[in-house]
Amino acid sequence: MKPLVSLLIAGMMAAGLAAAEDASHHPPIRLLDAAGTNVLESGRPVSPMRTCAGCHDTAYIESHSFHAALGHDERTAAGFVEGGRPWDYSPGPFGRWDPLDYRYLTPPGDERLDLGLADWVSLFGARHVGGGPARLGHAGLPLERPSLSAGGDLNPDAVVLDPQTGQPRVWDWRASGAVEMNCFLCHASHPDNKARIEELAKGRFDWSATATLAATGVVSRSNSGWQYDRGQFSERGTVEARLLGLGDPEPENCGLCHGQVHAGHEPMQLDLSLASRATATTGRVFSAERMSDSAVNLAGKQNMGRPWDVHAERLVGCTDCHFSMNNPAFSTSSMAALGGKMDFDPRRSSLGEYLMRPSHQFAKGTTAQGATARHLGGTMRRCNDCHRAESSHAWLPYQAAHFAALSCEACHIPHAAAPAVESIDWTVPSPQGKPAITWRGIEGDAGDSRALVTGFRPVLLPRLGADGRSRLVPCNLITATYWVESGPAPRPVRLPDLEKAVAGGAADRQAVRAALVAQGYVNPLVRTEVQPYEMHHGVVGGRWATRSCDACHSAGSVLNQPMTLAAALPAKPAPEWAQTGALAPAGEWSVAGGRPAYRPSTHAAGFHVLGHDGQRWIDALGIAMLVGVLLAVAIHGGLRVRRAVARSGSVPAKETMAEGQD
Amino acid sequence: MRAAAIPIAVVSLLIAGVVFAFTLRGSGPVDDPWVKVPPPVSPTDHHHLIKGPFNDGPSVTRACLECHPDAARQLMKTSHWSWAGQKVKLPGREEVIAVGKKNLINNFCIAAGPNIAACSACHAGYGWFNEDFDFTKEENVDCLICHEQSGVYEKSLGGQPAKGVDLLAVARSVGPTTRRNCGVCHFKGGGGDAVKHGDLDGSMYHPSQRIDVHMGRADFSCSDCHQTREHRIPGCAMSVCIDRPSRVRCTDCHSETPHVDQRLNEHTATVACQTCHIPRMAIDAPTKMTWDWSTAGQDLPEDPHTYLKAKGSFTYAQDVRPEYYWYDGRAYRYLTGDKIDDPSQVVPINLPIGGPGDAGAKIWPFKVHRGKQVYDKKYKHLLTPRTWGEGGFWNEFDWDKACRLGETPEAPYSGEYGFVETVMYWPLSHMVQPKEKALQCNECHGPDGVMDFKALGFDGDPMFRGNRRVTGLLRTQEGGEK
Repeated sequence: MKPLVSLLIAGMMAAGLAAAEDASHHPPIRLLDAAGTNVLESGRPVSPMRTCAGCHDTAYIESHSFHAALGHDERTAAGFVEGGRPWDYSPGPFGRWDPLDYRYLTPPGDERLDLGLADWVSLFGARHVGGGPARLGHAGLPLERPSLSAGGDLNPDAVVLDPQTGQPRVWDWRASGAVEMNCFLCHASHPDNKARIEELAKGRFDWSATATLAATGVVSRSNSGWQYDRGQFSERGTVEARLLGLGDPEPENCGLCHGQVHAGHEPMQLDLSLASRATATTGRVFSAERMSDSAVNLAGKQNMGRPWDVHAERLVGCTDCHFSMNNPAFSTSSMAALGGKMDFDPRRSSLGEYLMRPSHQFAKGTTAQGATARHLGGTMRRCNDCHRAESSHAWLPYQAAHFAALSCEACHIPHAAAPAVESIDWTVPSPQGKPAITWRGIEGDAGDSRALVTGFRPVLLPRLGADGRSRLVPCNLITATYWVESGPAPRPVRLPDLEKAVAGGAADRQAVRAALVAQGYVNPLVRTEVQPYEMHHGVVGGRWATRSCDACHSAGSVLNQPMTLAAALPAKPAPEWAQTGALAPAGEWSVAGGRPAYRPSTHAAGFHVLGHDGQRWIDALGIAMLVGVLLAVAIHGGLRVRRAVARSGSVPAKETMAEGQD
Repeated sequence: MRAAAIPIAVVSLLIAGVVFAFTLRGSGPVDDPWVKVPPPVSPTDHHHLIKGPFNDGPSVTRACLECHPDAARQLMKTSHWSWAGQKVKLPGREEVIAVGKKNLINNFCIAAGPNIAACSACHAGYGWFNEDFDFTKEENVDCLICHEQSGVYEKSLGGQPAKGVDLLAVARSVGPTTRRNCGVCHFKGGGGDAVKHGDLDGSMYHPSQRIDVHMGRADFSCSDCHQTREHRIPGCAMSVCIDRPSRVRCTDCHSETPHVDQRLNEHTATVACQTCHIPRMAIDAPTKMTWDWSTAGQDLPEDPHTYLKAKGSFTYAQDVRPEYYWYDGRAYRYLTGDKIDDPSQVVPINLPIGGPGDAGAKIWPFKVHRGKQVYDKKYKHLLTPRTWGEGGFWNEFDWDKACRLGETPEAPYSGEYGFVETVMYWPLSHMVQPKEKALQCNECHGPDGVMDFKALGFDGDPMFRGNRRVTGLLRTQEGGEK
């Protein structure tokens, strides 16, 4: 039976590929609940894991997905994450604290509860596809198991912090349901992410996947929850895949969690919020729209005829570079991954095998900010896997020297057109518990669509590449300032405690500190960390890239331009680098325009930039040589002139004599 | 000293060589369209050359001919005078026919013939009220319409100067043609600004580069591209030129492969320059997209943008995406009197020729004007009603009378009229956008692309399927088949 299914799937896929750009050839599907009953009969939430398991090995998919795991499968004891903070216990969002989110998922055994797992799902589920820890918790066991719900200790899987009492409260997972990996979020053409997030925020986790289908008309909100529309189902109880828009993930799908993607015909408006994470951290916008056609109030807009991202304009989607690791159409992209001895590996999964068990481990790069699934780092399709830089840069003098010192992005992301976060300060939050955030690249309030968007020039930091060479890559720097409880097990001060301090009248750092001490915190200290966010998207074509020699080879070289860190920072302690990954910043904390800044140094990083990096002893030697040569020429010339003059006193007489002889 | 001269000479040669190398590197690109652009013509001040007074248009022409004796004869050989082209064998027809504005039907104001006194207000002549107009009389040529620069010259019925025009002042203002000279007629085709053409309208009198890169950025006049010799102006709309006459082409100045990106150059064998570089039409001024004459004559609420009793119902649109069709430079043409096979079907008044298998055809952008106009139910041909003047439809709202007055030997009227849907195709060549505004990859390719590749004869998007050579749609002699 299995070969037959495989053959059928392969046939369907072949037909699908034949019309890949036209329409989904996915067959109609039965929407099943967790018990495997058609939801039309049960009225229960759709279970993507059961629904899709008819043809796809959903258990395999979930277990081969770092998007589901978010570091759940890479947990360590707190403080043992490479490059992490003392309280991080995973390289991914499940266990890695991020000052942009601030909240800390309390690990098992920790006595001071900040976020229980259910609260983490409610908050972080907005950018999590589900499955993994949202289904299995820290223990790796189904959260809906009776033994868990019946408990009531400080197990963070079982309890949440009650905002009213400030005490742990048992969470009823059997009532809320867990969050399955949500296939529709990435594979439906118009997922209703807002409805999904609302269900998560309400703690109705099991309905979140169903809510994702709200825009299809298959299901609609009712007074009692969600109601299926029988008119959208066939007599056999199936739903047309076309109605759901099932297919490969489009950039819009990826953008739901990763940042702003715009593919519509309406002029784009910027979504400047921390929810649009990659946009907030790097100024990245993935859109084919010309900037000049957007609704964004861009400075110099009339001359910005380039698209927000040249790859979007040329129909290169996210999955073209970040492909499934066992997708036979892509397979291994890089020769390096083949050990450098082969150009092509013909051995790969059949289409049928792939469709049955598509790995959801996607090819990826390694960045300073993205530490999870590092074992997949460098598998993605890189610039030189598609582009022949040598031929397209024939105009570039000293090509090899430039390619050895610069990443492609260094020139092809010369400017982030959208603003990005510059700093976030949690030391004195607002009464509503909000941090003070500053953005770079915008004149005015980030929430005001009338504010003038100027964009910003990234700072260029050296990064150790897979080939062992250090190259400059563009980055944004986000400075975070927050309180850390001292002691043997340091951790950030909990947000509810900070809110309590502020509510008690603390209006500056000193007062907040006193209030925290009064709450029992041991020597809370302000920590300032700077997280570099590497920029690899928002790429511009050659025409818009940095091309001028003067841009780098001059006294005002862009390679050494400082980047501001915040409006102001505590005098002490000095900022620390957060997670830098392969970056090796070489520069100094400095001041630019009256603001704290970081100034990179190509010289300190081991680069020598002609026209910028002067070596005093070389200059002195050069001057000395020049002076020496001039002196030598002068002396030599003087001696010759002297000799000529000396000769002129005697030789003419001889010549006169000779003439007389003739 | 002689010994020192040798190294000095070597060093000098080296320096000269380096300077020469830099000079070479700094020379202009090989493909330099500016080479083809004519230098500006210095106007001659005619104020002291022309003596008046002038009582009428022909008297002005006589004065012009004193110094330009060949001008009228030259113009009289052109379609600007005859409103008829050269006799040619038309696609799909056996006979050789001269067609032009004079004897063709369109789906705007329908036909010039029965309304010539009104239509000839845009004729480069004086006195064309009826068929008695003397096309051989040089003094009937109107020099002023193309050369006057006063800005106050206007023509009226029969092409006569409007009352009150100071002909002496106008005549003294003459100079090389400007955008305004051409625009007073060509921007107002169809009876008003932007009505007929999607790519010619009043925004081009003083355009910014947002409207047209040639006129806006480089301040081109029409004649910089329509380079005129002996009053023969190249270029012709597909509505009246249906073979391949002398056209103005982008490649008159630009290379066939002008792009830095080779992938773009590979498009030029299949896609006309205009397709990418005219992504929108009617940028500022709305153009007429549909015209339904069948509702005319009714006492419905009037709105100049949607309905007029004299003209019926119509729609306008601004900043419109063109439609895309294959076009090899030729067109089928409905000629006056042609039979309509099936009045329930849309009658193409003109139709671009070409397809994916035609190596000479390219995908072009078109304004498509859809109409509904009067036809003879018995004889089954389009009728040429008189709309203007005594007995004309615009005055009496009587289709029967208008059709009787307008009938011609080629298109007689039986007494039974009806309305049939028609369509006209207008290839676009103006309102050219620079590369910054040209269509981008994603605007044609991909799920939201503007091209209906299947309707154009492809199996699907050629970005994914391969171009017409790869997929065998185009079978040239190189490929072994035709």
